[in-house]
Amino acid sequence: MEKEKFNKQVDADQIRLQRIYEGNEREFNRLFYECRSLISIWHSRYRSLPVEDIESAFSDASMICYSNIRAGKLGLLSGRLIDYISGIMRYKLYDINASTKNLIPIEDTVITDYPYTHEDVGNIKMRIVVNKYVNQMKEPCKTILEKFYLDGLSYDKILSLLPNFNSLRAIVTRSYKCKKEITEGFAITLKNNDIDLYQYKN
Amino acid sequence: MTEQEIQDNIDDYLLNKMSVAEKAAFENQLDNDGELKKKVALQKILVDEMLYQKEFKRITQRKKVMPFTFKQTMAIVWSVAAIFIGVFFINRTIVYNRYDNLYSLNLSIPAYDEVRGEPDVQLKDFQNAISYLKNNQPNQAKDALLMLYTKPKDYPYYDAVRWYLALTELKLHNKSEAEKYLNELVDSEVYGEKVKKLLEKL
Repeated sequence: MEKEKFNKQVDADQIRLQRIYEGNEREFNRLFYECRSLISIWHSRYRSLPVEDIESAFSDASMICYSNIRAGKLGLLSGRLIDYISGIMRYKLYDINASTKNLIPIEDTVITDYPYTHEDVGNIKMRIVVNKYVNQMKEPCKTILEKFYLDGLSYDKILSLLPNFNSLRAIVTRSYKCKKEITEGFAITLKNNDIDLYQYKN
Repeated sequence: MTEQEIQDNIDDYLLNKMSVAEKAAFENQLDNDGELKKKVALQKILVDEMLYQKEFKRITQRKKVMPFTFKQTMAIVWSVAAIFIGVFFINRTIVYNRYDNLYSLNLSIPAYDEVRGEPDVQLKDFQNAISYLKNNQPNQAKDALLMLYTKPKDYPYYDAVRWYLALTELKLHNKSEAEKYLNELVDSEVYGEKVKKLLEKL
C-alpha cells in the first residue's frame, strides 16, 4: 500500500478514534461495518478455520477495540484501526483454538500488521480477560449488577424485577455477596492470567 | 467501618454520587489503603466493561449507518434539483397548453362585409389589430389593441377590444392580465356569458 495513502488513513482514523472516545456511536457503527470485511479476508486466507470462530473473533476484537478506545487506553494510533482489530482477532483466534498458534499475521494489500507497543498488548490481554469474565457472570448477580450500576436502579426497583427475591433485605444482601464474589473472582482470574492490575492504569 | 459501608462508599464513588469533599476524602483514603484501592480498581474495570458491552451491543445491533460522501450528497442534490426542474417544466407545459386551448376555442375572427364598401377608420384600426391574431402575432396584436384600449366607452368596439386583449394575454400565457380584462367584461351584454365560462375554466 502506498505510504502516503496509508498515513492519510491513519490520520483519518485518529480523528475517528477521538470521536468514538467522546461517545459518538454512529462513528463506531460505521467502523464496525467497514471492518466486517476482515471476516472474509481471514476466511479466504485461512480456510481451515471455521467461519463461526472468525466471526466470533471479529465481534470480540471489535468489542475490545471499542472498550479500549472508550477507556482511553488507545490514544495515539501508530496504524489503522482495521489493522488494530485484525491483530486482536489473531489473539482471539489463539484463544479460541490452540491449533491456530502458527497463524502468521495477514499482511497483504488490504491489511497490514499493527505495530502494538508493550502497553497495547497489556491492554488487549486485560480486555480479553475482563470481557470473558463479565460474559461468564451468572444470574442473579449479572442482572443485579447491571441494573444497579448501569441502569442506576435502586434495590426496591431491582426487587420488583427479580421475583425469586421476596424482601429488600434479601436482595441487598445478595448484591453485597455478588460484588464481593465477583471482585475476588476477578482478582484470582487476573493472577491466573499473569496480569498485573497496577500495570493497567485505570 | 463495616464491609457493607465500605462497599456503599465504593458504589457511591463509582456511580459518581459523592460530593466534591466526600470524593476528595475518599481518594485520600485510597492513596493510604492499598487493599481498598485494589478493590475499587477491580470493580471499576468490571463496571466499565459491563457498560462498554452494553453500548457495544446497542451500537452493533443497529443498522449500518450510511455515511454520505461529498459526491453522493451532490448526486442527491442534483437529482432532487432535476426532479424539481422537470416537474416545473411539465407543470408549465400543461398550464400553457390549457391556455392555448382556451385561446383557440374562443378566438373567432369576425367576418366583415367588404361588399358594403370601405370600412370606417375605427373599424379599420380594430381589424388591423385582429389580423395580427389571425397571423399568429400576439405581441403585435397586443400593442395594437392597447392603442384602442384607452378609447372612451362609446367607442363601438370598446368590449371587443377587451375581449381580444384577454385572448391575446392568454396566448402570451399571462393569466393574471387576461383575468384583468375579462373581469372588465363580466357585465357585458355581448361577451358576459362567454367571459364567465372562460373565467371558470382558467
